[in-house]
Amino acid sequence: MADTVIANEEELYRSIRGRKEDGEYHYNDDGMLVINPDAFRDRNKEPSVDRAALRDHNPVLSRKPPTDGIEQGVVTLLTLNVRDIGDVVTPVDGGKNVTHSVDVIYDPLPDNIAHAKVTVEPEFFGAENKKKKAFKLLRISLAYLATDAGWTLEPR
Amino acid sequence: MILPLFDSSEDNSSWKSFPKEYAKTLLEERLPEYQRSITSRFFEIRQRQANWDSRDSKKPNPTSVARAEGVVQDILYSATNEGYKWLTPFISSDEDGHITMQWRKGKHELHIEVAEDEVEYIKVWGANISNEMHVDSLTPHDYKTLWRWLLHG
Repeated sequence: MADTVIANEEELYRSIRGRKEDGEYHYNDDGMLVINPDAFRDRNKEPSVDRAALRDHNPVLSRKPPTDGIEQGVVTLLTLNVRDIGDVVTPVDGGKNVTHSVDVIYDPLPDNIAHAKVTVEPEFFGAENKKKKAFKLLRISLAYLATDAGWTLEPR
Repeated sequence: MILPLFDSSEDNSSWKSFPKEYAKTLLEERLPEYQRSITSRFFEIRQRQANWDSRDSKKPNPTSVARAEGVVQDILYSATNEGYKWLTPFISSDEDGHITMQWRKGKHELHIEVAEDEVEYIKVWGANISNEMHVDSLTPHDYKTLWRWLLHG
């Protein structure tokens, strides 16, 4: 049975849409791969990842279905680096701030035993635009980490 | 008068000086090309309809689009007029129909988000939100400073 606590040294896979029009990555003028924040969009503001160890360290198993015949790419994040993103701050009424710490928690699904999600504690709350702004910073951070890591599997 | 032309090297001391006439020629030749590239990209953005990405994103807000195009053209002019190299932005729209623009040079990222009533920038030089990011409203006063910072990535 898989350990329910994700260790800092565990690798995490994230599937990235391969079709360029989807805007999840691009190459800059220096030819450098840049993963865009849109690669970490999630309706619940909890981007999904797979625990690499529970995919036998085979990123192909984490690749989501192709779009228009273009295979998705896969990037790898280190759990420690995700937790080191630090705190996301949300301003609340009265001029105060709420601090959310970033974590990765195991969340197995019936069709994906490797599933985990990047979360914040406490959860984002308040006006939707404030939640979105806070989540945008988290997505920028995750994208920054993914850019530094580069492709584990390139789209094709 | 010598007009300095900053190249894209990370080494601060490696900027070159060109005669003013050459720099001006370079600017005159390249600026229209950069402007056309931006105009072309915004034309593509304007064609997007609701759910353009199959993720329920809204159609780009026309006011935001027009505003964003003005901002990036101003940044382009501001940067190149100082002799700085231009970097191609990645321009898109988000789930709310706002316009997003981003640049990455080395370790530095610059994100600009344009809504109907707000223009914001985010400087990023690492993944830690508290220590390696800065968020603020964008004004024309900021363009040159931000561009210099970006090029030093």
